Amino acid sequence: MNGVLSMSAKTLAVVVRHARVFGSAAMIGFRRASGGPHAKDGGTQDQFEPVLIRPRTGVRGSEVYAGSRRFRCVLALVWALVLPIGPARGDDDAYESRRALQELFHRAADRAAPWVVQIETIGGAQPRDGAAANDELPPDEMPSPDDVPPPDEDDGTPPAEENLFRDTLGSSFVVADGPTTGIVYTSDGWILTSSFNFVREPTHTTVAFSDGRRFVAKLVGRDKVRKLAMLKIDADGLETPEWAATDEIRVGQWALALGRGFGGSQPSVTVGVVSALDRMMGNAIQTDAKLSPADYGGPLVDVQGRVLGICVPMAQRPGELAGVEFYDAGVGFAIPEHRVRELAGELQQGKTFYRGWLGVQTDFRVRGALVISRVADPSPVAGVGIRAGETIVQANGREVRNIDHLRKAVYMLPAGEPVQLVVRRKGLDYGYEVVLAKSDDLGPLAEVVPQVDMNKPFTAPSTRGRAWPSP
Amino acid sequence: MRTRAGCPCHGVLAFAMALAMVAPWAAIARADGVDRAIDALMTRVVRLHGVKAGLAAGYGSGVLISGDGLVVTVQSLLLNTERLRAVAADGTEYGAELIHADKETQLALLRLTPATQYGRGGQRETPTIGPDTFDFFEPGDSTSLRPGDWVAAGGNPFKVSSGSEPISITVGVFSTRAPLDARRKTREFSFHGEVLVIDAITANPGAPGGALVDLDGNWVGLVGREVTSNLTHTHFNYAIPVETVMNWVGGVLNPESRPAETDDAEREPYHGIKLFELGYQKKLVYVERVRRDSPAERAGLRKDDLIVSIDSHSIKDVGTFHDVMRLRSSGDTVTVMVIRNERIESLSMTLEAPQ
Repeated sequence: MNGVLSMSAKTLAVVVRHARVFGSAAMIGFRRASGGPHAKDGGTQDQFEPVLIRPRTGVRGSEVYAGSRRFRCVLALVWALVLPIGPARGDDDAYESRRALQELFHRAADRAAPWVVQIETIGGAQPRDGAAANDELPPDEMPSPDDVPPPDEDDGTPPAEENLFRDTLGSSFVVADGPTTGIVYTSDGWILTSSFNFVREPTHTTVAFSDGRRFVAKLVGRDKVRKLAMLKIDADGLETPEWAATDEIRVGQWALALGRGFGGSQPSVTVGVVSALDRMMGNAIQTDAKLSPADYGGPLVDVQGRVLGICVPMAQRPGELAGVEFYDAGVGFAIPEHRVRELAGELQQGKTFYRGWLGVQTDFRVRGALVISRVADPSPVAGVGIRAGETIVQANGREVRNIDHLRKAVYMLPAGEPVQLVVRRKGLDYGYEVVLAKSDDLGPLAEVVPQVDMNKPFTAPSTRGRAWPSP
Repeated sequence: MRTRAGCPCHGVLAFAMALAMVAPWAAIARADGVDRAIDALMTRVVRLHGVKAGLAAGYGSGVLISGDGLVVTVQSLLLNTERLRAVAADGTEYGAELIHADKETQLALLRLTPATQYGRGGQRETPTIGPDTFDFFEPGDSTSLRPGDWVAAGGNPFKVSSGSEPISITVGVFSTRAPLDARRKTREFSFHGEVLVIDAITANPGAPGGALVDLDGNWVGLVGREVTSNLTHTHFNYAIPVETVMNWVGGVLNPESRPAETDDAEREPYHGIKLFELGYQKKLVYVERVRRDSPAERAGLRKDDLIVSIDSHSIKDVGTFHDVMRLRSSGDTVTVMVIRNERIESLSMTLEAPQ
């Protein structure tokens, strides 16, 4: 089984035997899976994928009652004869399967050891509290306590949630000081890690391998939205990982986060499963393997040691540190293969992806509709002629009724990406395509155009409809 | 319910039915492969109730290490009371005397004492303690753990268990072995030895002092105090290796075998480097000057080299450099990693006696 899974025959036999034995609550079996369209070695090899088999033992008690009386007698007697050995066997089998699983974890970590690297940064400074929490939010758009919009009754989520979250964490959370993790991307010295590791803007970065070799690295490209970073070291002939194609990843499969942040020659291991696919606007997979800053930039691997994704902090809000507060909480994210491949080329060419901005400020006093109160000039929206006083009703096909809806529609899009907007002007809807800009390219916000009587509560006339998000 | 009169095997049937009903559930409840670990934890971890001081929880966990009631736990404010109580797995309450608490390792040794039982029905008799009263842990081997090994921790986080209720178990994997570099609130945590990093969540009030066991139920570590890692700035889930714990216990029980107190103000061996640092948070430690004919010069260190690490210790500031050096003695050879012209240089420096 060259390269895919060279399990010892003994372990395999143990595991397969347990999969057949009756009575144990959780067992591992192996599902044969073909290579799939993304398999890199031609897709002809058989891959064994461990799956959990849960026999429905609990049903049996009631089945005893289901039959005739004679049947019941016979069944009960059989049970009475069999059971004294039953549970004991179940215990042993479960124990053995757990041991076998542990063996798989070791193998995965051993396979990954040569290409999981330690990233140490030297110098740089803790970002300002505000900057850490709000990312490149221009001062004009910094939320102030007065800016918290009134709760929207129609909406399941309170719009103020994001601001509260940010404010409470922004002042308390500090970036990790210690080393973090990365992986070898190509054998000629490209190293992939998380942009989280560079929030401090360090002056020097080193990459250390498990065999003790250490290199000075150059930060070439970074994606502040998908939280990836590409480093280059002066090395060749490096061992590289095998990647799992995104469409082969299944919810519930084992996922191991490997880190080198704590040093040592072996990667640290935390174990969980893939919790969800296609998160963060299709940018990430979710895992419940515990992730801490020591793991960010490191790989999430399957039991065969194939990379499922690069672990990064993420949350449903913008900001380079967003998601760090989820450490160890069982909610973690990793950027999977297809997205990494899309971005890697540009990162290697030195591109930096910045958070994308529309350049609008909205009127928080208005409930149930997103009325533009100020427009930056120049800005993407000013460029297409969208003006203050108009109402944004849709962004990228999603209905938007408050600022959080709009943020969620664009938070995973970097500057340069197009956004489809539907704007309501004098009762008519107009569609626009605007290209998001970097915050640096935004002009000053224009004067407020008073559109509503400040003394009267305003209710939007006609945007009420289905609750967001609509399918 | 219908009567079963007429069935010839009526009694057997009833018995068999009862078995059939109960046994499969027993199998489900116990067959997840961690039952050896849980069995070991259940009877050998005690719950501690002491004094509640300030924000500190007034409860904790401890591990029985002898049949006559020696309990090892972590140092904590809750121990500072004469009314310290320990509750065994069966719900029996004992008193607990603090034998010794250590500032550096943050460990504490207790001895359980008979105590009057209070409860429903008023005062009851006092249990006696003999040499074999308690089920206890023999130390296992934490060095045989490999990253990815299953581990289970037992303790009483958040005081969830009360009366004769069992302790709480959490299962995870052993992540790695690493030196502890942590703080409690703003104070540096005094223990800097190697610890077992785990992915089971134990950084909860009440859990420290509990036991960590492997899949076979071997005792491998003592769940450590709640700390925040200086590397990640996150709460840290770890256990102190059983070897460290038992070495300390041995020293407490046999004071003669305790190693002589080391001189804290030990002098730094001679290296001949003068340093300066740049930056105000994450600092850069540069070589300002290298003395002529010094170990540093012989090692090839130069002015303006950026010091990255000594042996495997990252040098965060000038203070850490001297701390690391103080732990070395003359004649030792250390590996100094520096960045020079955007390249890593690894230099060996042999230290000399302080001048």
